Amino acid sequence: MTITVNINGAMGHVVIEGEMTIFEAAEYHAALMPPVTQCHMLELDLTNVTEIDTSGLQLLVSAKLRSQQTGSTLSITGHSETVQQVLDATDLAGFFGDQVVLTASE
Amino acid sequence: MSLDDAMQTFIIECRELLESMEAALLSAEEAPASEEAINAIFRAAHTIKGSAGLFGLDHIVSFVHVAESVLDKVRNNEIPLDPPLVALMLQVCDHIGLLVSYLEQFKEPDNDLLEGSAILQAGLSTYLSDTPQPSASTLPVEHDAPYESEGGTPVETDNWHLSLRFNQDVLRNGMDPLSFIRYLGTLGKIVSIVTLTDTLPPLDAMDPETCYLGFEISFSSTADKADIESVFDFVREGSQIHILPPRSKISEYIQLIQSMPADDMRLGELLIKCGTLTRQELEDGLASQRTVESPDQVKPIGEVLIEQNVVQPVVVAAALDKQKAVKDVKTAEASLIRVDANKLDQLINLVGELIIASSGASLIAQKEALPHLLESTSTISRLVETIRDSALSLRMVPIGGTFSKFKRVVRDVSAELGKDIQLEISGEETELDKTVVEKIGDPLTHLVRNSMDHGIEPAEVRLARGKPVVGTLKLDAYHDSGNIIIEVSDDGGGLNKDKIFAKAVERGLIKPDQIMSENEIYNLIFEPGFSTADAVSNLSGRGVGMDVVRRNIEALRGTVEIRSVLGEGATMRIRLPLTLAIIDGFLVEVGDSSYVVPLDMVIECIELPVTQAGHDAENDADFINLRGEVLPYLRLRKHFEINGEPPRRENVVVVQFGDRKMGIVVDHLMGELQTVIKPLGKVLNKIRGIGGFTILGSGRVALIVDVPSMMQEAEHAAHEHITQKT
Repeated sequence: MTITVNINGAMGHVVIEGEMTIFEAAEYHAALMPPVTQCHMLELDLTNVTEIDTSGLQLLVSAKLRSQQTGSTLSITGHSETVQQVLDATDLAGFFGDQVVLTASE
Repeated sequence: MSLDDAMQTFIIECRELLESMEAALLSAEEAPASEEAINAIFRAAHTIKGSAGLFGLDHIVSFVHVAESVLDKVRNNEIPLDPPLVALMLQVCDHIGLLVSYLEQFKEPDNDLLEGSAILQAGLSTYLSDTPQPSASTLPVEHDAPYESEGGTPVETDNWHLSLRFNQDVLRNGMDPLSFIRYLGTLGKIVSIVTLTDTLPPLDAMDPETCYLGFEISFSSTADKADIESVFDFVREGSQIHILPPRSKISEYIQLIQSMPADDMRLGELLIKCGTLTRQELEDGLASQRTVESPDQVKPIGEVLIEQNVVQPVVVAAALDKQKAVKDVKTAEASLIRVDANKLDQLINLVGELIIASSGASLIAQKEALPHLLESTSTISRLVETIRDSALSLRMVPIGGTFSKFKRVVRDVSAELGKDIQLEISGEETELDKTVVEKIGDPLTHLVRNSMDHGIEPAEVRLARGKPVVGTLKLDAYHDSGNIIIEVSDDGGGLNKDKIFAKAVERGLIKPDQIMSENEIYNLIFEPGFSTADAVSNLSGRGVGMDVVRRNIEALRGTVEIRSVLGEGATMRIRLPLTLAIIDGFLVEVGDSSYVVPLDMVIECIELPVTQAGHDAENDADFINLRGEVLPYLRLRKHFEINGEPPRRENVVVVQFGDRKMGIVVDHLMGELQTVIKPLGKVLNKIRGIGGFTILGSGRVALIVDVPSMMQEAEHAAHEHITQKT
């Protein structure tokens, strides 16, 4: 796993690559806290997430809920196929409200 | 709204929630708890936890969370709300209150506090581990259940319904709920899925390794129940897995509805989630319920729906009950607004000035004798009077809130004393000024504790005296001629006046040969010197801090008196003015000075009989014959040492306070007037017989006669008079 966090004032950009599972959950939680609490505009790039489980999903949901409560924006700018499948399977795509960009190969 | 303001709101909200939680718990202790009460308790805990989470108050969240989990089990009928649990929950309430007050004082939680949290949490967690596995209690029932109806026809859906709440540790145990859902996809088709995020704490408060998500799934499959169940074999322990077959029994849907989280629950969504009902059917049902007008004629929604053959009524009723409970809370919130007490005070002050100004205007109108002006000033006066009343009523609150706090006091104290005492409350709708309500709490608590401690006898003594074993303490409130009366009565031993007298002599409060009425003797227990530690046991101990009680009550311009029958009980009667700011007064004149007598106390006005008028100086304790009744009177002219000759005809204002009557002799009667009471300055406030002053429309100052203290003065004078003579 790698998580790259860029905070530029109220803007944040986070790129997550690799697995987003219970094994890394604590690390993701810690790494996501600063951008989620500090940024008014936060973009999450999940294009290269290879695996996501319930722990990863609920982290995303919680971050999104927080942004809704505080009136900030959290958007997922890229979905890997796995992420998209999970969002579909749990019917949460609408909750996140992001445009799902499909790659040409699909 | 700054964070501090928001925090303030949170603190106020918490206090209110805790109050309602406590009330619900206490009622649950008396009678088996209704589902509504349990829900109320749960909701209070849940809301506190949620709001605390918003502020990142982790120590509160984690503490309340445990309590909430236990309450959730109670709500799901997994554990009973028995007295020990109620007692524990009351402690939890107190502790949350403590946590909140630390917050209020900007104190960091210290070790004592956290230790308290830990102890209670340990107590609570025994309830969490001891309970039977929920899956064990719900699933077997469904195993052999015939699909045919039992209590009604089966619901219409053709899909399985799966309700999944996973064990919080499922992730740590290496299992991923998502993979079960994926696997479910191999057995059939997931028609719809709702991911529940209700229990998901805010990001900063969440433990990333705990599973918070739940799922409601409508599932179309030809697999049999055992197959579907086997999907969840590995996670069954500690999880709540409900699997309802197609066309299930209605009771099972109800069970499911009841186990759903209470907040944010829209009935329509819920039933549509469950696939039980369409929106149209639901709306029709709600609409026909609304058309029923009178509340006592309201049919259970179930009946309405049965009549229309829309849907299985029991399912709807269960869901509607829930929604109604949530809705009721919301409407109550909406119809109240919070106003800063200072703003109210300011309003009352302004109204006071308005009254003075408008009576000034009427005075001018009278002098000028312009009919048009007179007419319009009288209209204004009437309106001002209405404004005054409604402004004052803003400050009026029912005393019930204060009374219901005593349920807890009585419960705790009776447990402490090992006596069985029940509390009876009446007159809780009686309204009085908010400042009075706030200040009366402490003295009342003192009186209640005293009655319980020393008034009500231990069970053995009660039995021996042929009384019911359970002692009764009564709180009552009612209005009486412009005053509010609050009574604390017990059916205990009563006061022993001989012992009190002896004790008072011993303490040097009175002389052994002093002649005192029964009432005066009882009132001795309010004397400062009377309260001593060794008075406790023997003398039924009343008097411990009772002087403080009387002082507090007198500070509110009130009085306290005692009625007691030896062996049968005692009643402490507190008499308070309705409001502290504005009264209707009766204006009188003596010489050049004006005085105001509170109108509520005035019974009638008569002319002083001429035969009495001349005789004065030596025989000071005068009285007249008022229709056969002896009416002592007091000359205001003499009392305030006003010079000048009295007019040829003097008038008597007959006043009543409590059950005593007195006449006040004045020169002229001027009539009614609205009076804004202004307090006297510190230099003057020791003067007996004056309760304050007011400004008249003419700009002159009038003193307000303090009838109770004047009565005492008069009685005192009469006593001395008698003693001198003898």
